[in-house]
Amino acid sequence: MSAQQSLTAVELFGQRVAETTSALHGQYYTDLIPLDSPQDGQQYAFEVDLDKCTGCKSCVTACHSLNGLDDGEAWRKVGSLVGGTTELPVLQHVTTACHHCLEPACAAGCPVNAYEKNPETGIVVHLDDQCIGCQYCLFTCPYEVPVYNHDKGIVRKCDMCHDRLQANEAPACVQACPQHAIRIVISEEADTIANAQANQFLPTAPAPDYTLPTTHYKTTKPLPPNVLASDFYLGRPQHAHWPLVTMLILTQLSVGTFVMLNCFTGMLVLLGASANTVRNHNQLIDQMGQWPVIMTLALGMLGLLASVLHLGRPLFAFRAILGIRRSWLSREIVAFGVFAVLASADTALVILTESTADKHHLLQWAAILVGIFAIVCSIMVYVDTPRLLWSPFFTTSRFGLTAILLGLPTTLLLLSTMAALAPEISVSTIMSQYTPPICRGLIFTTLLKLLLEARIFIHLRNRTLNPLKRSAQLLTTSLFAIVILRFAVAVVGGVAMPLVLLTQNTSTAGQGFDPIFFIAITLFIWTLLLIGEFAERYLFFTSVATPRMPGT
Amino acid sequence: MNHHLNDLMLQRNGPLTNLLKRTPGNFGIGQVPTDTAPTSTTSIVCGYCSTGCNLEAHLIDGQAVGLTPSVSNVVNIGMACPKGWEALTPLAASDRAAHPQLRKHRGKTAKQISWSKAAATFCERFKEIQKQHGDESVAFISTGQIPSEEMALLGSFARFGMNIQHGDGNTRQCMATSVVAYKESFGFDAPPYTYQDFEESDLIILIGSNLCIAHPVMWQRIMKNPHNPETIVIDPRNTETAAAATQHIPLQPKSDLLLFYSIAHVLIRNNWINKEFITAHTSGFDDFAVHVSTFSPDRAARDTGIAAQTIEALAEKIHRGLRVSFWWTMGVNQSYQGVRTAQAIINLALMTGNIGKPGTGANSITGQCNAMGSRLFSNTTNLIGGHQFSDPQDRSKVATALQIPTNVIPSTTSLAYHEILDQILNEKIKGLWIIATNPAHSWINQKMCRDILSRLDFLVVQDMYDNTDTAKLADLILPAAAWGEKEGTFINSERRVGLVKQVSRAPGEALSDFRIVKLLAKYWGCHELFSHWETPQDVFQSIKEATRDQPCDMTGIRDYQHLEQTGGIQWPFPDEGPPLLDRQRRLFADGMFYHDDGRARFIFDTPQPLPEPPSSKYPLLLITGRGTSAQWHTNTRTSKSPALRQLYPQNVYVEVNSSDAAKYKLQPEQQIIVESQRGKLLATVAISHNIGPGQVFIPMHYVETNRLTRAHFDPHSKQPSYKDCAVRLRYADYRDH
Repeated sequence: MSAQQSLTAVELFGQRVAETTSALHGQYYTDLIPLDSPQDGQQYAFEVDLDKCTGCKSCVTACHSLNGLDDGEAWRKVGSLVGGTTELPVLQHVTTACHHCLEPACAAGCPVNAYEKNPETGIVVHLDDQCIGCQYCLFTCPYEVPVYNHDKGIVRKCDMCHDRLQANEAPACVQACPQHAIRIVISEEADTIANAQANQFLPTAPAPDYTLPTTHYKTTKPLPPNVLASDFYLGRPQHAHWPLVTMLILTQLSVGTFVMLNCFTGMLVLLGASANTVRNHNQLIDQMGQWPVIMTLALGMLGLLASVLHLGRPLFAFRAILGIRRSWLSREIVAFGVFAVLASADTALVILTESTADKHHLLQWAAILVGIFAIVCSIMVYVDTPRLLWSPFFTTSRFGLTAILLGLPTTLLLLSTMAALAPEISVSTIMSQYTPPICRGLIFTTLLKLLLEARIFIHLRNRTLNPLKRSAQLLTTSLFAIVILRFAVAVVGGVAMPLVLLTQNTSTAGQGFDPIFFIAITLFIWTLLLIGEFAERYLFFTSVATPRMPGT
Repeated sequence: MNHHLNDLMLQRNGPLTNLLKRTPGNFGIGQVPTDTAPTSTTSIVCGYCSTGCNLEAHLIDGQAVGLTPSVSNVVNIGMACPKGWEALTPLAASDRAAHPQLRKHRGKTAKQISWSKAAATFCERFKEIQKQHGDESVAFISTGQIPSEEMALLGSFARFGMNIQHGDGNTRQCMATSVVAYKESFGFDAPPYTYQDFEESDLIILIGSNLCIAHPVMWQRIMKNPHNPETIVIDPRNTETAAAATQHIPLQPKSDLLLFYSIAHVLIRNNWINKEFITAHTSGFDDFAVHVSTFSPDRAARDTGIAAQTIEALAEKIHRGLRVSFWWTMGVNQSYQGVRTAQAIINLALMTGNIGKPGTGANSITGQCNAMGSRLFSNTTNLIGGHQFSDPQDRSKVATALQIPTNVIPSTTSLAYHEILDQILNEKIKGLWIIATNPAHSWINQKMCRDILSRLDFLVVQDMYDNTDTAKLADLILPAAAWGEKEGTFINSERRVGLVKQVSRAPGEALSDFRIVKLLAKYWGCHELFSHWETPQDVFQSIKEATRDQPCDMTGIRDYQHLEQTGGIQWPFPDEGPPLLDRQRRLFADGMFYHDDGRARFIFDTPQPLPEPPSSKYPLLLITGRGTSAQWHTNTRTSKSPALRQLYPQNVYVEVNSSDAAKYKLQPEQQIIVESQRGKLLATVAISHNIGPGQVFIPMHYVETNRLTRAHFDPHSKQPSYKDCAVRLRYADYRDH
């Protein structure tokens, strides 16, 4: 047994290869790496000879092991294109890694400047210690290049083995390809731009105009027009990103409610409340003090806290300020931070100075504007990705209407609860004054939002399997149960229950319900709508079709 | 302070960055991850396929921490496939068998026991069975995955010590057909080529061989060929190799015999044959010529689906080629008429004189890392060293070489794999010992195989994992050290003997197969038979001696050091032969074959129709085969590597031609039941042009696949025919829940 455990291979056989720092593999790859360094207007780039790539995938495992990556982590992938006819079938394997783009979207979106494009080599390097693990680059890169490492809490990616290149060694994938299909070349920036203009990159791959990828795929065999990625028909729900779902829903709820509580006068007029109601309103708010606002802000803080859970390294979240000039994510984080500070300060000021609600001051307006701007930033975070589903209209209609749809019932719930707790205010006042406008608003917003959400199903009729049809298909297949849930709770919570309150209110002039029962129904509406919005946002993330390299 | 503040905001370096720092590896391996920079390196032959790549193990204090393909090795020239790159990962898997285990009740969990208890139980149970039902009631199934020395010790203990009558290896599933074909045609099981031939051919014909995926490093040799060779792939599927070749001939499954006879027909008709070579070095050509005279291309076109003019053109290419080489793999071997098909290929090489010269040959590419060693040393159907049990001279020669008494060597040969299973069914065999193979996944008609294994009184499985499909059925599990955790020699496809070393520690109490067998022999009471074999190297000296004067003579290999210095030596290498100058040696340069008359034989037969042709009830023909280069056979080891798992679909899929998909109204990615008369499975539909109409393809690596296959065999080689059974597709319904 002990003999089994002793390792003596080298003692028995000696060290066959003498000690040398030079790489003996060099003899096989000297032709595969450039002799010179890139000059102005040039950079290093991968060149893949598709005629030689036969799909053995040695490059993937070599990348994994020569770079000491974690289990299952590799920066190179191999996919395939299929097409042709039964008589002339086409099967083309494609090896792919980071394209070290001229305009890397990963870097543009990064809130902490963790990506740097080396000015001499053009290699896009990720600064692992700078990364806070927000994973936004996974959304912005159209080629699924950055890989999130759960254990380390950061993203890592291909660095073209730049230190190997420096030592005249070939990158791991280049030296491992038995067919010499991958090489490093010096590419002209002008060529990359010209190729992007002509949409020349790789059939079925995401269009090159977005990031200007530098990888050059060459082949002598023209691919037939009907080639498809081998996984073209595969629809896979994406990650739900629960912390982001929670963050988005709760911050939108918070801003929506904050705005409503503070601008209620205007809102009431808008929703057709009587002059009497409007007059009584300010008085009422004063009586309640700042508790509803505090509750609202607490929920928003909870949302911001949840978003921190999405970060692999939350301790370094403060670095997000660095990207404010480029990154919407950076702006979103800063804007919500500023909103939280302004709104809290405003509330504190009101409490401390015992000022009244009708005296709108600068701080309050600032908080409102920053809050709305923060939601705009949230919208832009998703719009500013190469994901077709998250179009400006699509995202704005969802995020904006969520703020209203949750702001309304939260306001009603908070007001009625406060009324119940404060002996000097009667719940029935709240019921009679606020229920009709809020319920009308709720029904209208719910129907509008559901209608806009249902618009995606139009794409089921598309002949082309484009990203929108893919999303629609996912929503009607693997995500169908959640879709049903989403619509059911919204119809009950946003239409049916408000109708009950409305009819009851009109028939009995606000005297019909027991206050406790009224609060219970309000709570029920609030819960249903909150669940509905969570489901909606879950679908927002899971049903999106992501661009990627073919068959990876 | 300022510096720290800057760092806090923008940190370019630090612990996370350092994790990926690379540093020069110092032994010619280039930069490696800093934490696995080795203190020494040693080369080791890979333990997956028969290419026999040399890998440089990076060692820290003797323990392997990384691998790179060896440089300046004649086999793999600095390259490896994904399995080789990831060869260490399966060793470190958390589910390794670390202790002997005994299962009191089938279907229940096995309990950990001591080695002494395990060895005693092994002997007690098998002796009991042998006492009651006769010596032949215990059998063993060996493997092509362990070194020759361990195979020889295992086979010797089983047949000479335990008096086991019947033993076979999993090589029956891959190479038996080539063995028989070569034996009958050449007089000895002798693949004639060296890998250099890939680089020296101007016409390379690959038959049923998906080199790009199955042997990527061999495809590399074709890519390095400076003669701009034509590559022709004969395969029903548009495989990766077919796609990369200059021509693909998508013939109907199992119509290859007909095609080759037809090519021979054209060659003879046009007098495109090498009469000189045929007259001087072969026999049986005239009968063969008569036989193929009826196989006109027009006739062949009907059943092969290949146009007559394509066949004519192919024959002409063979005729015009200066150096034509033929290569085949499982598409030929795993066939109910595989031996005759392989011989039809051999006949083409013989009649055109494409043998014995650089860049030529009728060349069988082997499967497992040591299938070639198994063919010579497993001591199952052949006596050690390629000898006959029935021959008294062979018996006494081997006894002398192994230093054992002649009388312990039986004079009868063994049953083949499927015949052993039949004998279990007939209640003649009651005890079975399975070493390093997984029939509950890999054997044809799996349901029947599992049923048969369940009928045994006692099943012992010796493996590196205790959760293989077969180990789950075992009564006794013996934990084995794996490749890289022990030493010995492998023989690769081109007859090259290479060295395997111990570069990693086996988990827990796992022992090398060598040590396990020594232990069992001691408990059995026959250890003095093998007491002179203290190390694998002792066995090597004995089995080397047993090859003296055989075609596979390797007596010139002094010892392991000799192999280490040369990086592997091809047989034949007799000790009184010429010194080793050429590291790329092929056979038959002198036109002398191993039959007594020195002539190669033309052997042929009437092509047989498919035993289970597609019918109205089962209208599609199922072909099974390799899925990706990242999967090895039953995926037992390769599934343990997360890096490899990224490289193939996790669930079983079925490739269907687009016309059949339209016919059966199938959508891409849909789940569908594939069903044969024997079983069914649920697979994801992959619609493609890479499989022909009327055919479907399922990779063999998924455990479900062999539920469908039909147990039928080549009558000469007894090799299972995995690639031709009738199936149907249907939607899942209540029957499937």
